[in-house]
Amino acid sequence: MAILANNQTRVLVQGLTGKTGSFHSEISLKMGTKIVAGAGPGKGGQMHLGVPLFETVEEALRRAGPIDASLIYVPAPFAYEAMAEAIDSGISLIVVITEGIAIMDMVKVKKLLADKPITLIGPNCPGLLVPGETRLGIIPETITPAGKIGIVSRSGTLTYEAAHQIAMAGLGVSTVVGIGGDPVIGTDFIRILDLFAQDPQTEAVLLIGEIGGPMEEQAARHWNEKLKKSKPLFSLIAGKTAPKGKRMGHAGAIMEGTKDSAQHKAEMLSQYGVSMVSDLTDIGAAIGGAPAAAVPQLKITLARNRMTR
Amino acid sequence: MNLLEHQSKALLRDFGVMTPRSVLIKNAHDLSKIKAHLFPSGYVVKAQVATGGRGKSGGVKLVDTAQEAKEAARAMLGSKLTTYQSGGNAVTIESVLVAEKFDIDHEYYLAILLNRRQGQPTMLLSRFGGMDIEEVAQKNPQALLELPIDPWRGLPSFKLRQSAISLEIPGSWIENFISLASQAAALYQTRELGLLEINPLAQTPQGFVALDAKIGLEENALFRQSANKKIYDKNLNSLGPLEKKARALGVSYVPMSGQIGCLVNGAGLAMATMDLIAGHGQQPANFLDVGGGANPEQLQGAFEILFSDKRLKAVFVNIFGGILRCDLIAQALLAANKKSPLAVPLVARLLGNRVEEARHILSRAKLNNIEIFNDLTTAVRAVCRISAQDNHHGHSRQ
Repeated sequence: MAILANNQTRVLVQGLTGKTGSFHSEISLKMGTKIVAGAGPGKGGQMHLGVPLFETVEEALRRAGPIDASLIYVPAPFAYEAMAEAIDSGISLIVVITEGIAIMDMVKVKKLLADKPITLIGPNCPGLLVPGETRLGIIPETITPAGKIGIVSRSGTLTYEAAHQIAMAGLGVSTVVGIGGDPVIGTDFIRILDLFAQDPQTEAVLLIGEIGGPMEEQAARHWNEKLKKSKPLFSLIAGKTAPKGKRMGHAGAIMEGTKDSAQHKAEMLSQYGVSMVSDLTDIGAAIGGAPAAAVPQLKITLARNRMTR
Repeated sequence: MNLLEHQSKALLRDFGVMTPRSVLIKNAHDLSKIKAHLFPSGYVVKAQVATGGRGKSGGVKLVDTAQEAKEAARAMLGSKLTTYQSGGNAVTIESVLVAEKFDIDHEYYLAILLNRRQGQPTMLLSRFGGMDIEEVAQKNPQALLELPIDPWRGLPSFKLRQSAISLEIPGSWIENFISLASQAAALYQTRELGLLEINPLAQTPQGFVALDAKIGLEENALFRQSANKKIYDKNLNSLGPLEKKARALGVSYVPMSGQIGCLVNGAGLAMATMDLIAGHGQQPANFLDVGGGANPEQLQGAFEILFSDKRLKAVFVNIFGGILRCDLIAQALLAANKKSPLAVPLVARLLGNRVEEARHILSRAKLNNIEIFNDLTTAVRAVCRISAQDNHHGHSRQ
């Protein structure tokens, strides 16, 4: 078990023939990811990497379905259309890797998603990795073995670093989810924490946050009050040295006030009982050193969380 | 990117918002634009700098005559300004705006920004203008009205009318307020801004006037906002040479005040690496993220930025090569070293893709001031030790 996807997940790729889409899909296919179709204007009828291409998502669904997830590599200027098309087709999981999407486009996408049973991960994210099973995105597939730690993060390489340290500590990962570094994203930490809480394979979770926005604090409160700290939660917040008002690489990593600083977030998370990893090099030791007895099997919250979806 | 006040006001005027008449002074020659009796009501002389808190630091002067305005503008031009918001850095005043003074009946606050909690743009309004909005939000949160702006339908007038009543705007000025707020919302949406702030928004005998304004451009929308792109490109010229080079290369670079130059792949890892250096008692000189899929040209340019930074005591490279190849990093380092030789010790932590090849390339080059590690802790300790030693030497020379 893992969250969101597994080795049975049938994947459509929008933007399969582009440079990034092509490069990473080849790696994913080798790993065993079931990429069953590609879609994009002007591509219908062709094959790429042994995968059939269709003109539209609707046609792909009709002729290569069923499809469980759409993975989007479409360049930023065209990404809104691609997302709107995937949402309209009703595919229940959409993962958007594209970086640089205009904020107003994401504001519209959020409105399109409202009240629909669709999970959109990203944009500007590395996607999902279920070690040994499937890979929707660009996370290095050999970085960690399968195991019982769930990782959710706003970042890319920092997440790989964390997964690597977890592997070095003799542990493994159930699912890595990169939710993206933009100010408006499809899925927040809370939803992923809910899924990890329900997943029998996951026994502890690492949340990697950064400066900007209110998400980390909201997630910690949710974990404390709604999930009743069901599984141990570890967290690292990047950007303690970041200056105010400067965008640090990610569009969403900008400290605008005092409440979205790394220091404030770390303090709030501590208050909610989250185990803070203060130092990048301590991730493996902190999680590896957590006593196994502190990892309760939790079944009680399962039903209730499913309802909140 | 935040625009200067005069640029922000020009955009507001384009959309019908009233701003004070003004002249922009960029050099001594422009001072002749301040003719006698230009603004009979008086003059406001304002430093044009992209940092807040000018008023409290001598960046804004109120005077009565054109002659006084000229003198104030001449004194400001080219001088340095440090405000409580400029992060300890002095900003050079490159231009000065001389604006007409208004009689103010009341000062309000208006801003449009992205509400990240809700994932949509929101207009913020308050009866208490002229002060920092975080202060208002803290002292008097119920005094802050929040109106969500729908990406398709915008902001309905009736919402603004309701707000006008809550803000206690006098009845005869309500229509004027609604039209100004609608124009501001139209500007924000049409031009896809990141931020629009009018503070104070003054109620004057002549109507509502934007006395000060701050506009931020949304950089991801520049590809389809050609007018914004023009302003953006123009403003790049006022950046420092290293920042300008980074923008041209398409890598994220933010200069800071420390002594260890950093080059990292990925924004989160770059921030965490800076934090790690600070945790070991030293300070990063910059944030530099070459991204997950940097090409050789970007990598070489990024190294050149660091190698030409005279403030550095050491360089730290942290590469987690999941996708990025470490041998490309090594080649880029050597190419940059030819163009602008590395003058300080460099410590690199390289891990992942083709790390052995990278080691071979660097060892063949026989550079004596480079150390390479696999382990992050060891690498950070090494670079911080170098930086600390150098500090010590610097100290003893004094």
